[in-house]
Amino acid sequence: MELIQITLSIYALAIGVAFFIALVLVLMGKLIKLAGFKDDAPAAIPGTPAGQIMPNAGTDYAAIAVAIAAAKRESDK
Amino acid sequence: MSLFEALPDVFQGVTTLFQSDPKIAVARILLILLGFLMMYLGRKGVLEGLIMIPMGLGMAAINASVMVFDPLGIHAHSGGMSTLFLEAQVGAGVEPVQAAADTIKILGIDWLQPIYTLTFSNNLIACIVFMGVGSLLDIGYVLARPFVCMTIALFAELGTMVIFPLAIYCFHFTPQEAAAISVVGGADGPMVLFTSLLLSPHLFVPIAVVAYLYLGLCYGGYPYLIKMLVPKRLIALKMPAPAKKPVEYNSMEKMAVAAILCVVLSLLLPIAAPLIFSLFLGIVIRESGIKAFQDLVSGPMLYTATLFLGMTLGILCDANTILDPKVLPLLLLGMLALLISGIGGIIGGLFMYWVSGGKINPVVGVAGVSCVPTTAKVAQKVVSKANPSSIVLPLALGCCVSGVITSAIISGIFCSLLKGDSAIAQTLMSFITR
Repeated sequence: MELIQITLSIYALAIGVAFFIALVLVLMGKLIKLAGFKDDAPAAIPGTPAGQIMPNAGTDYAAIAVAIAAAKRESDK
Repeated sequence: MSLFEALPDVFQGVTTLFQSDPKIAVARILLILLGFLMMYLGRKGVLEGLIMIPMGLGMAAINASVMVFDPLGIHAHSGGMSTLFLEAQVGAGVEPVQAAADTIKILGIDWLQPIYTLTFSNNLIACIVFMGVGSLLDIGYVLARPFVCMTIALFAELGTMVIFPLAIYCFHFTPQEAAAISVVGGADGPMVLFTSLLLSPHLFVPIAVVAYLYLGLCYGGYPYLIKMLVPKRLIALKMPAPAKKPVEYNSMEKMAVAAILCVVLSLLLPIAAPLIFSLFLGIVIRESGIKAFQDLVSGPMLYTATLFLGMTLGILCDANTILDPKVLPLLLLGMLALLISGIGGIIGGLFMYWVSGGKINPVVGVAGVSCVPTTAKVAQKVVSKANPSSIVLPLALGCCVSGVITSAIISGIFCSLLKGDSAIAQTLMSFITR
C-alpha cells in the first residue's frame, strides 16, 4: 500500500508541475501578445545569409557593393 | 603447424560459434537474423528506418565478429571472447586508477570505443539528438492548447507509473533500477539514456537497447493498439475548426516562450537541465531565423547523431548482453511500459473526446506517448486511412511535445528523489526485502 502511495505521490507531483507549466504557457502566451514582439529580421547587408547581420568571410564584397549601389539607384528613381 | 590446422585461428568468427556455450551460439545466430529482419522492416517502413537500419546492421555485425580477444582480461567467463568494436563495461567493478588505465588502453584498440566513451556513455549523443529534435518542433502547437496537450501527455505516462512499483515489488529491482526501467514508458529515448546513466549505470546498456528496440516497434505496433481500443467511427472523426480562431504566434514570440520555458523547467528540475536545455536550444534555433544553424542542427548534426546512436545500439546487442538473466525482465517490463503508456494515451484521448463534447479525435491520445514525432505521425497515418479529410497532426504534435515535457518532469523527479541513498529510496528498498 505504501509503495502505491509513494508512486501516486510522484505522479501527483508530476501532474502538479505539468499543469503549472501549462499555466505558465497560457500566461506567457497572453503576456507576449501584450508585449507586442515584432517578427523583424535583423537589418542585414545584402548577400548576408538569413538570420545573420554580417556576410560570411568568403563573400564576394565587390558583388555586395554592386548590389547596394543598384538598390540605391532603384530607390532614388 | 599446417595451414589447415591454422584455419580455426583465421576464421575466428566461425570458430567461436563452435567453441562457445551452445546457448550463446544459438543466440548469436538468432541475433544476426533479427538484425537482418530489423533492417528489412526499417527499409519497408514498418519500423523507424532511421534507427532500425543502422541498429540492425550493427546487431548482425557484432554477433558475427566475435573472436578470442581479451586485452583487459575481463571476458574470462566467456572463454576470453570479445570483439574489436567496443567494451561497454570497461572499468566496471575495478578501482578508479585501474578503470582509467583500462579505458585509455581500450580507446586505442576498439574502433567504436571513442564514440561510446566520449559521446554515448556520457549522454552527449542524447543531448545532440534532443537538440535536433527540438529544431523540428513547433512550440506553437503546444501554445495553441496547453492544457489539452498536457492532460493527454500525463495520461500517456501511465506505463511509467505502473511499471515503477511493479518492478520493485514483483521483480525485486532496486528503486533506482525500477525508475530507470519504468522511464521507458515515457517513450523518450534520450530521457531513458539519461535516467539510466544517472540512476543505474550498470543497467545502462540493456535498458538503452530495450528502449530503442521498442521505440522502433511503436511505429509498427501502435496502429494495431488504436484499432483495438478506439471505435472505427471515432478514428475517422473529423475535428471541427475551433469556434474562436486560435492565436497565432510569430517566430520572435515562440522564441521568447521557449527561452522562458527552458529557464522555468531548469529552475524546477536542474537534474534534467542538460536535456531540457538541448531541446529548447533546438527550438530557439528553429525560431531564430539563423538558417545556417537550422540547417546544421536539423540536418547533419541530428542525422549523424542518429546514425551513430542506432549503430552503437546495434553493436551493444551481443549475445552475452542479451542473454544476461537481468535482461529478460527488462525486455518484459519495457514492452509492458510502452503498451500501458499507449493504452493510457488512448484513454487520455477518449477522456478529452468526452470533455470536449466529441470535438477531439481520441486517436491523438497515442501521440502523448512522446517519441517525437513518430507517435504523431502514427496518429495521423491511422486517422488518414479511416478518413483522408481528417487532420489531427497539429494537435498530435502538441501532445508529442507535451509528452517530452512530462517525460522530462518525471525523469527529473525520479532522479532528484532517488539519486544516492535518499530517505525515499531507503523506504522503497524495504519493499524488496519484505
